Amino acid sequence: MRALSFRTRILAALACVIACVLAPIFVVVYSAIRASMIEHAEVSLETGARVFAQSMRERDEQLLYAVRQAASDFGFKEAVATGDVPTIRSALENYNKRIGASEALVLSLEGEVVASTIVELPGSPIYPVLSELIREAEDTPFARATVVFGGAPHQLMAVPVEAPERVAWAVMGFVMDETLVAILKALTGLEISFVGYGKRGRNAVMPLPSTLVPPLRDALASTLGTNAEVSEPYVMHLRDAEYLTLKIPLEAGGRHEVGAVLQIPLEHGGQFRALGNRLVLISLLALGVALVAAFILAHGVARPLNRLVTATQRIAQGDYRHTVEIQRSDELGALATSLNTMQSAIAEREDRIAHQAFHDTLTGLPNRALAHDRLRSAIEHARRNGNTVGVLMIDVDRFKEINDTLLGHHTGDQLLIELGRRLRATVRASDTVARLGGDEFLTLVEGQNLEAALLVGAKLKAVMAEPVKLGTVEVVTEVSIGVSVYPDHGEDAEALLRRADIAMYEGKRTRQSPTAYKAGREEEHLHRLALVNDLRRAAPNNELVVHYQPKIELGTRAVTQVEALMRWRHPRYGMVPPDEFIPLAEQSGHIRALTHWLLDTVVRDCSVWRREGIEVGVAINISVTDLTSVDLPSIVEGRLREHGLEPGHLTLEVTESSVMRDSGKIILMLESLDKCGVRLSIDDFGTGYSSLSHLKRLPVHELKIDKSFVLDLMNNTSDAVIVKSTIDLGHNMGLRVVAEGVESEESLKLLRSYSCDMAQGFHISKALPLIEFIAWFKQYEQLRTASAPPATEISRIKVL
Amino acid sequence: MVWLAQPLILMPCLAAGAFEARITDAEGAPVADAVLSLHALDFTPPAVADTPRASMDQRNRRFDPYVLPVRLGTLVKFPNSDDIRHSVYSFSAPKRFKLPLYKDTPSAPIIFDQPGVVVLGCNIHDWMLGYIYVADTPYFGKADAQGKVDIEGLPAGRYEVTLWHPQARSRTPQVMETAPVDVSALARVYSLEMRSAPQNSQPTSSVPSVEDKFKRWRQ
Repeated sequence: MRALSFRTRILAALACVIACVLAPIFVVVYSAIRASMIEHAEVSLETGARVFAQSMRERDEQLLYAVRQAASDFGFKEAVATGDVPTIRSALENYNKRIGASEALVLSLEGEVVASTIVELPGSPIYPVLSELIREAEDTPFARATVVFGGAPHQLMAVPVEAPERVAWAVMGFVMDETLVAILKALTGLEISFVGYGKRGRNAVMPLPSTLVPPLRDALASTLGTNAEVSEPYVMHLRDAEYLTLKIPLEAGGRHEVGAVLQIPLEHGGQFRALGNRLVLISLLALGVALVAAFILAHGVARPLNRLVTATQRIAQGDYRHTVEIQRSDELGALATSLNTMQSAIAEREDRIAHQAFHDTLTGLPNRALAHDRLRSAIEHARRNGNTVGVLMIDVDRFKEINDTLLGHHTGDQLLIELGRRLRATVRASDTVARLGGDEFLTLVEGQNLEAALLVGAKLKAVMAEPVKLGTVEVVTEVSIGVSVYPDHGEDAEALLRRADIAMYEGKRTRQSPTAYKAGREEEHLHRLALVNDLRRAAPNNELVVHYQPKIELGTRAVTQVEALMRWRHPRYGMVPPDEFIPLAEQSGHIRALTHWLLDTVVRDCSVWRREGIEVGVAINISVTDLTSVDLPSIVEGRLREHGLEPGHLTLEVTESSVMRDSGKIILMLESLDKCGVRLSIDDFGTGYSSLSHLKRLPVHELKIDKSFVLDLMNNTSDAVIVKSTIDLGHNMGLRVVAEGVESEESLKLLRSYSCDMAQGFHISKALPLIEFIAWFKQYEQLRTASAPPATEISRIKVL
Repeated sequence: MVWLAQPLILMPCLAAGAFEARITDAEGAPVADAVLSLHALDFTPPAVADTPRASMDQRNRRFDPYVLPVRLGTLVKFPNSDDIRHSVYSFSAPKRFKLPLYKDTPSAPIIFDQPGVVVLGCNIHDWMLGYIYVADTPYFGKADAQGKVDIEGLPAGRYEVTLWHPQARSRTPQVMETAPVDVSALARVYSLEMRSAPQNSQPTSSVPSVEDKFKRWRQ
């Protein structure tokens, strides 16, 4: 439709231009023709008017001559002079016939009729007019009048009859009838009309003999106007025709009762109409030709434009298959070429963008969005077919280290590319391998149940474990793989991915891959996530409390130290055991804040009770994370100084595994702490893989045998051997040895027999809040100093 | 004038007076050829002893004199001094006559025995116009070129003065006044209203000139 309107607009514009050009031409030509026509008409009119005037004068002269002839005839004179009326009348008739006059009269000098050939109308208006004429004429040689009677004007000439003196007037007249106007028309080539002008007050113009047809005579009479004066030539409209018109009064002088109207039709011979018609025809022809040309032009432009419009609409709808074929060398051709170029460019770019939207730029593998999509459709497919889908979440262990520190980003990228390639090469072509981001990959294996998926996972892990040669370096990567399976572990893609992720993290933690998702793990995971989240606010919200578990000297049974244990009173979950939240704190990085809080609380409490005379030191657990923060010694010193506690009353317990992991830095840290004067103890001793030589280099003062060896000491001989030899080992290295997990008097006794230095456990006391501990301590000391209480009694000390 | 005095001498009355008049037109210019006649109211003039005679010549295709006043009963002869023929006629009521073409003097003079104006024409020459004034009184005279008329030898008494001229507005003799005449001369000035002289021009066209109406395109 737009193309049509464009075409219409071109046509309209051209038509306008042509009309604008032709209209003035038409007007100018028309005006010129008309002016020329009027000029020609005026020349004709002038010539005709001269001929008319000449004719009229000739008639006057003819009439005058005739009347004079009559008046000078002696016989006529005698008849007039003697008043011989019959003779006069017969003479008049004779003269009439001789010159073809229409009437002849003889009037007395007083204007009375003596004789007349006019038979009718005794009261004819001619008589008064003639009387007046003659009275006025007096001594003039002749008198003339044009008088209307009998429906026509009469040209009358009066001449005195002199016998020899003036005795009467002889009058003769010519009628100005249809015959006359016909003759005049033949002579002049003009339309001749006589008209009578109304006398005094009567304004009507009376039509008289004329060459015009009767309807036009009436029209002329009504158009002419009553002014009888001679006019300039002017154009008069009569009915449909135009006439150049000249009014001439037929009486020179004051009386204008009769006039002649000389007219020449403007369209004489139809010349002008023909010329005008030709001009109109030429205009129309030009217009037609221009319109045809415009139509062809518009069509020639509009058709390719239409095709271009169609093409752009097609491109807008995303169809890039067809090219526009317009073979033209003009702008439209160039436009078509450009459009084709643009189309292919758009198609190419769209492909690229689409690929980028769904693929990872580094590895070229599908990205997370596409992986989700594939997983969703795989689930949909499996749901219909009662099939299964295996989801394997793969994460590269310690990739951050590789990337950040060891080899650099470029190498990290190379590694990821290689790993992606291997994954892709390992699974079936129909399976999906995607990179979710960072070092996370995903593999979807359709139609595989859990066992099969785990097998795939194992295979992948093995493949990934192959060394990767990156430049000069060979890298061995470990991956953690979590597996979830539709429909076993979830109905939708999100749940399956989440659970595979959870399984993957569990595998990472337990160092077992591939790991299948286990029911309930997600809830645990969510619980853990909630705890981690709440942990940040635990200290500020006063949700943390410290419980103290006493340690006794096995020799004296005196309480010389307590282990400070953190408790978390969660507003919703109640007491959260340290086994649960400490690892979470370590993983999430909250542990340092917790340690600082614990350190502050414990040092303050210890200094408080020591000022009350309770000579008991305190021990706290320090995580491996704490050991790696270089400001730990200064913080410890700061706390001690602030609360005025001797460094020797503070023991820092570090796990065997933590001190064994990264020897150099840990040893430096331990040495710094040692310089502070605090005591160092190795906790959970026996669970790690300590080398004695390494142990020897550590600046520690104490070993703490792991409670797993102590709990069943009485029933398990191998444990007893381990405990005894550990005690011996410690003593040999100059260290004090502490056993924890003592739950019976028998164990206590046995440990004493092993020469263990200190014991800790439920048998002595569970961990107690500060107030309760103080109360318990006072009661215990009372009993201990009063008598050596039997071992069984220890357990009876209960805090009220 | 000489021939006029003659009858007065013959008159028996002894007491005689004179009448002197000057004739002018409305503008005061002298009018020649006016005929002044005096009609006695108190007495009857003496009858004519002998038949008076007069002559109206035709000379240079004109009547000569132009106006000829005669007493009633005068015999007038019409000699022809031209070498062409004339045919004198009159349709005037006092004397209708027609003389055939002639040269020299016609055979017999014509007696004018009715008073009045006799207009003379020539049938051959239309412009020839002459007047014979037939007066029924012996006391009359014709104005000379200066418009002067002298009438002498008048018996004392009252007279009716009439004046006539061919071109006077009044075509008939006009009574001017009743004048008393005694031995002393009576002088009068009479003004006559004259007709304009007839023009003999060709007629102008009854169609007024239209040439000036067509100047638009030619200039």
